[in-house]
Amino acid sequence: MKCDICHKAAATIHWTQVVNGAVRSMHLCEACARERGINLEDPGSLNELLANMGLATEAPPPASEGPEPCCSSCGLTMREFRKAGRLGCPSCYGSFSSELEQLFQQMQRGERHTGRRPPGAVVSVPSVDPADVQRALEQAIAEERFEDAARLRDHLAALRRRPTPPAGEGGS
Amino acid sequence: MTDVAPSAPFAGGIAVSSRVRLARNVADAPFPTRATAAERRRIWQRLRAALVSLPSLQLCVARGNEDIPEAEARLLVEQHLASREFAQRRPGGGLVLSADRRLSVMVNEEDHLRMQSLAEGLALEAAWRRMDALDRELEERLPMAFSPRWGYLTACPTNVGTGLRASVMLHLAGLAMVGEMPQVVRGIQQLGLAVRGIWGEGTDALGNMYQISNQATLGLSEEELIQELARAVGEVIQHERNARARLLADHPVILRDQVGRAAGILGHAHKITTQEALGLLSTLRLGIESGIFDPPGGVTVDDMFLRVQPAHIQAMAGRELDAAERDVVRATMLRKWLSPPRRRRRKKSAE
Repeated sequence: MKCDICHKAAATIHWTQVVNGAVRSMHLCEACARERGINLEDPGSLNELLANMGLATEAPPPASEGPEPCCSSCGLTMREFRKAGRLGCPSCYGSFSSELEQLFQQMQRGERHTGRRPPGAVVSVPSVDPADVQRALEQAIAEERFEDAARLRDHLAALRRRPTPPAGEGGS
Repeated sequence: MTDVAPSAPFAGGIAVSSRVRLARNVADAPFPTRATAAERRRIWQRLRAALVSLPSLQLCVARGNEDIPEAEARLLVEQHLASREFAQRRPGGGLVLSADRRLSVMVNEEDHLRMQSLAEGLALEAAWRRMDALDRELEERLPMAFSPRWGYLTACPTNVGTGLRASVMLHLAGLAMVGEMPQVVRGIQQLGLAVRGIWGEGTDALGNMYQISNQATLGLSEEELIQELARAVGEVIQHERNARARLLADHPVILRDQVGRAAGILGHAHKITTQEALGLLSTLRLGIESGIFDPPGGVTVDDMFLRVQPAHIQAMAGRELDAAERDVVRATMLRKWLSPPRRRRRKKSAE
C-alpha cells in the first residue's frame, strides 16, 4: 500500500477512526508522517492530521476577503495553524472559534466541556475581553506575580489599541 | 533521578500498567511552540517553583532538560517518563518526577504541563485519583487556561476539554498467537478508542504490548472517559484470557514448544536485537503466566522488557555502544539471566 500523501513510499502507519459511524482511514509512510509533525507516540496527533485534512478540503481559506484571519493575541495565522495543527496561545481559541467548532464536531465527542472546572470564579483568561484581562491583572498584582502582571498589562494595552472584535464571532 | 535498574510499574498479568495524563497550560502565556526560549525558561522557573511546593510532589526531583544528559533523556523515554519530543531538549523544558516515579510532569513539551500518573496493573481509578489530586493542588496556585465552553485549553485541539488521555498497557500474546489481533484492533477502534503498539512504529507491536487509550477529550467528563476505557479494556482482557485458555486446551504442545524455543534462544544467543528479544520475551512471559515456565530468579520478565532496550543497554554498559555492540551486551545479559543456578563443580573422582 502506498502513502496517501507522497503516493510513492510504502505506507507503514495505518490509522482508522470511526466518528459517529463514519469510518475514516489514512495510510502514511514514516517520512510524510514526520514531515507533517505527527508525533508517532501520541495517537491524538494522527487524529488531528485527519481533522486538519478534513478541514482543509471542506473549508478552504477565504481567498480574497481581506487579510488572513489571525489570533489577536499571539498573531498566529489560520494558515500556520492548519500547517502545524498547533495553536499559539489560549486566545487562539477565541480567534479561531468557528473553525475549531468545526474540528470538534469531526473529532471530539461533543462541542462543549462537561468535565471538571477550576475552583472558584477563575476567569476564562484566553478571553480577548479587556474586562477579563483586567481581572487577571488585578489577581496577578494581588498575588505579587509581577512578571505576569507586566505581561497582562501589555496584553491589555494591546487589546485596547485594537478595535473590539464582534461579539459573536463566526458568521461575518 | 534515573538509575539503570528500571522501576518498571509491571506486576505481571495481562494489564501491565495504567496511566492517566493531563494537559494543562497557564492562562497568561503563549503555548510552548509559540513562546520564545526566554519565555519558556520563565515559565519553567515559575512552574518548577509551584510544582515542588505541592503536597503531592513533596518528595520529587525537578530538573531542567538542558541539565539532563542525552543518554539519560533516552532512558527516560524508554521508561515512558518523558516523550521523544521532550528528549530533544528544547530550551526551557523541564521534568519533575516524584520519588516513587509514579507521578511525572513534563514542562514546556507541547503544552506547558503534561502531567502523568502511573499505576501497576489495571488501576485507572487509582491513577486518576492521584492525578486529579495533583491537578487540584496546582490549580490553587496557578490560574490555568480554561474556557467554560471548551474546558482546559491545549496547544493541540485534540486535547482540549478535559486534557485527559487515559491508557492501559496490555500484553496480548495469546491473541497474537491465535491470530485474532486484527479483529480486536478493529473492535477497539469502532468504540472510538485508540490502540497502538508500545514499542516499534507502524503496525507491528513489538513484544505484543499494546496501549489502549481514549481519543476524544471534549464532550465527556473525566470519569466518563475513564469508565468507557475501563469497560473496553475489561473486554479485551477477557478475549485474551479466552485465547490463552484455548491455546492451553487445544494446542498445548505448540504453546510449550514456542515457549521452550523462546527460552532456548534467549538463554543461548550471543547477539540479539531489541526487536527479536522483545518478541521472545513476550512468548516467555506468556509461558510464565500460563504456568508452563518457571520465572527466572532476580530480575522479572517485565523488567527485562525495559532492560533490553537500547538506552538501557547503553546505561548498563556505561558507555556509548553501536548497534552491533549492543546486540552482544544484550545477549550476554539475557544468557546470564536465564542460566540455571550454578551447580557445584563435580569433583574429579580418582576411581
